[in-house]
Amino acid sequence: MSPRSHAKRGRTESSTEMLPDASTPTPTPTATAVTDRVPTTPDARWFAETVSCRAACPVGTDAAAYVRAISERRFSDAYDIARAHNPFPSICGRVCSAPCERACRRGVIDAPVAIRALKRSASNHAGAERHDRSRWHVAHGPVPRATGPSIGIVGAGPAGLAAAYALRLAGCAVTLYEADATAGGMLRAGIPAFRLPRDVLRAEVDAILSLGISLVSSCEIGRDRSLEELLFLHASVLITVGCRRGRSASVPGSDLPGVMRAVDVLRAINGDATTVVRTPVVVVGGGSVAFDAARVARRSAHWDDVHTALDAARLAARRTTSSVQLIAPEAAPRLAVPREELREADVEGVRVRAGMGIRAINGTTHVESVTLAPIARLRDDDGRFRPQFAEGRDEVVPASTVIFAIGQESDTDFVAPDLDVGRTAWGGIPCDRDGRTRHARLYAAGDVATGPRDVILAVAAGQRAARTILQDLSVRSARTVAPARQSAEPAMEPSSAESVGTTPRSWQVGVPHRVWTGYDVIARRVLPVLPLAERQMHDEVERVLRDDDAVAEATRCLHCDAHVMLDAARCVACALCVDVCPYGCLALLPHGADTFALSLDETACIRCGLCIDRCPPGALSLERVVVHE
Amino acid sequence: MSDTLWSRALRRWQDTALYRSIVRTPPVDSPRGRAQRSFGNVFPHLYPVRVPRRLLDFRSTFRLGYIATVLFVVLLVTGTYLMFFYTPAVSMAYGDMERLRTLVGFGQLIRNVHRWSGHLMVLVVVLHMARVFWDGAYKAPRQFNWVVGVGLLIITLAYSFTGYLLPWDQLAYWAVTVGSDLVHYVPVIGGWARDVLLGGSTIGQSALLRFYVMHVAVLTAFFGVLFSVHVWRVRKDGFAPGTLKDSRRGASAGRSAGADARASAPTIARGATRRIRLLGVVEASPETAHTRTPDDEVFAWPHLLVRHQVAALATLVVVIAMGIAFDAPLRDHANANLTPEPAKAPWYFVGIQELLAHFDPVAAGVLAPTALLVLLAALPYVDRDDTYKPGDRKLVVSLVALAGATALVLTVIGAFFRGPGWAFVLPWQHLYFEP
Repeated sequence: MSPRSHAKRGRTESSTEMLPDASTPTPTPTATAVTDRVPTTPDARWFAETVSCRAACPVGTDAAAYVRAISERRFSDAYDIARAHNPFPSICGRVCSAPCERACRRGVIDAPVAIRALKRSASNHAGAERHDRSRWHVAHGPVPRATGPSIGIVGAGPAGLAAAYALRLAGCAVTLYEADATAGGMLRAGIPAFRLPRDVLRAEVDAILSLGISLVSSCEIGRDRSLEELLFLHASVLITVGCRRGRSASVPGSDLPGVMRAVDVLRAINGDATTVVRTPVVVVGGGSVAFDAARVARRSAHWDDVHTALDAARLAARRTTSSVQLIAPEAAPRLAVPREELREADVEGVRVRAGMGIRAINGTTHVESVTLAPIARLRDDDGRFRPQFAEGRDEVVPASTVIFAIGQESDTDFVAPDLDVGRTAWGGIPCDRDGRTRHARLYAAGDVATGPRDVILAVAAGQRAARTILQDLSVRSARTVAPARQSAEPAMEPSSAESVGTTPRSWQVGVPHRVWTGYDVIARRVLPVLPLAERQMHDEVERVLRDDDAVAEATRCLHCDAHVMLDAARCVACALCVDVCPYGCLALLPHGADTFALSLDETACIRCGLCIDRCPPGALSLERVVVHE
Repeated sequence: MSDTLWSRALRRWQDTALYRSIVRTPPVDSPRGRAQRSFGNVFPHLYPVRVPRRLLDFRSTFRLGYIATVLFVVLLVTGTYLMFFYTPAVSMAYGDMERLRTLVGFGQLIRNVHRWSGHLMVLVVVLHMARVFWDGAYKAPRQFNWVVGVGLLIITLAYSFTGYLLPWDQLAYWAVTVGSDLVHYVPVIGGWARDVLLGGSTIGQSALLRFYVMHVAVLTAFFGVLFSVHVWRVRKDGFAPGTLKDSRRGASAGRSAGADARASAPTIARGATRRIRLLGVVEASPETAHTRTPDDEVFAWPHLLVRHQVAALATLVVVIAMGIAFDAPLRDHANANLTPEPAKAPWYFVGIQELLAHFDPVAAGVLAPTALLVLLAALPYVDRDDTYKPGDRKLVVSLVALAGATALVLTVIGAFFRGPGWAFVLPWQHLYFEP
């Protein structure tokens, strides 16, 4: 994109005179400067997107800001920043898929900043696990009285709770209907306690419910109440029932005893029900659920060994492959699991076989073995997930239990056909990106709308749906009763991982950024973990970072919100900054007649400030940029 | 680093306040540390922080400019040593030469190395100019640095010529006589100029003293100034685009793997999605603006530094080997009454002497060399377009090559094919040449 087109996109207020005139010609590569560097004139959106952790977060958490706060030992402030966009900091500090870390530019030097672990450090100081309610609600201020319209939410999982939280803070009267006895949804049923301790979950959910949200538990819609009843009771109804049903496999032998679904295994164990998981175990699937299932199975087998002497004796004879094998169709680098979790699973004895698929389950009365084959291609020409096996390299692995974690489906039978909202391939409810279904007062969010996704996407979806509901309600109240959306048919496409949609409007230069010494050589802190011998079924494996380690880890941040700024009037085009840049980010190129463009490659800049130290006329500075939304 | 006693002691020393007051930049443990040390410390800052990768290829410059610098340092060091044992007096100089050979520790070797380095420096400086010319590296904005380079060439020749006299033997005396006679042919001021140079009309005590002072002090001062300007400009302008396109050997250089890679090479993968932000548009004249892209660059330290070290060591090996193998000539005591046959100028002036045998002294001895130097200095202002490839500059390349070849042929004839009475002699019959 040429700078000219960017210049037209609207100049934003800025306190420096750094934007070039719109009439300046585009850089013309000359014989001495053939390059693919075409600089972009920055606007507010540019500065917002440069903070890649924040841009990657589905709920728009300002990770850079709370990491900075931790680097300054302001843990409580960090917690408030983290909670501003997300009512689940204590939970997300433990189980978030951390798209921020995948986006973190520190990864270009060595390894990303351990942002998720830092969030946990912050919540450890001020979060729900402290059981000190004084700080829970600092981030959002006083709660208004529930005088607004009444909203019903079906399903008290992460999406439902996030929506309830947002709607309640907007003054709505919110009622949550939960089929299980307690709120939490897949946070409780799908994530093992060794990753998310129950007291943390309970405290965090309580913090939300304590705002004055009524919870109707053990109430399954379609059995105890009907959706029509809810639509009668409430101004709007939001469906966030998730995907509770494990998808079954279409592999020969998948109806044998010993074949299970990961969701069922997790639900049973998390509900303290006994389940017979016999070794050797093979888990199929590459996602987080598969990992949880594999780790649970590993513990379960261990548990059996300890508690059932008879079983233990019997198993001991067959424990030639006592480890749990995890068959992941994706190649190792593409597994959707944080590296810490991979490592812990490995330590616990989960052997990952990446790039493999299951061809058949063998056995007569019970599962005896599985036939595996390497995957030759993961997707077909249209980019759809359709694995193809490499021929002639089959491998038979003994197995007594096969756990499938290959996808989940929604159970939305309670939505009567005459409501005419339709049904998606996974049994979910079709809706547009903002959660609107074909029914004017019915909304959907979370896994039921998108198919199985992770916690943070569910939270984002819940928040987005809440915003939509509020918007539609205000429109409706303005037009008294007009059925506003009948004419405008929403686009019936599964929503993608979109952010909650903050719009950067303007930017300004804030305080000068201070460069820490040696920040670029600090290695990523390894999360402390529970020793292997002490790992029981439900004990949390990951520990919190020591405060000093957390500060050191936060110091590793490259501070993407600090920006090198140029006072063009003072610049003498000496290119000493270009010379000194350790990562070769700067370039000085001809830009028309007797003018030169200094540009910076933001993908590589580590904000070391050497260009500023070296600049003879002091034309460069490193300053934090504040983006207003 | 293994945890030896030595490494622990080193770390402890580096932790002291004294060490940190001496070396103030942070440790070189990352690209940032490397860059900061490079410009924050006086010695590494003589190099740019980063240089184009193609410069690591020996063929990019053949390290000729650097080798000339190394030879100059060798000459400074050996010359200083010789100064301890040399008196610039007609009555003493020749005796000092003999004492150097017989009494002074390493005196003969040091004198040999000094003499061969001097000759070699003239040769290397000429080759350096040829390389710069071939690459078109004197084109804008580097024109004037070429002129400075021509000045350095003249000083180098002057060094060699003034040094020639100091042994005060027959070779020295008569070579300088032939050389300084040329000055006499300069119209109008010729006689005066020779008197100033020699301190009289003939070579005697004043000439020896003047040559000595010129050799050790005056020329060194001029050389120091011009050399600083020369290197500083190279440093500021960066290296010329050059003609070396396919740098096969240089391509992999600097992409070192292993433990040191973190601190030695910027290793950020250049993906397809680069976010390039415009910092600002600057008004500057093309003469002062140093356009530069960081693409395909490596840290000068260690990559270029190591290659320069190798070039320096190789140069030292060559001059010391020459010093061991060949003795610098020392003939009989200078005798103004006994003209040797033939009396030849130093080898780099012998071409002019050859020319004198064919043409009028003013034309051959004054106009031709002056014109040559003026044209040489004017070259970048004549060959002005921005083409670098020799193939695109056929005319100027042919003309300079023709001039160079003529000078070479004249020098070879003068040096090897001339005998007593400047008669033609085949070198395998009798060689009348001493360097």
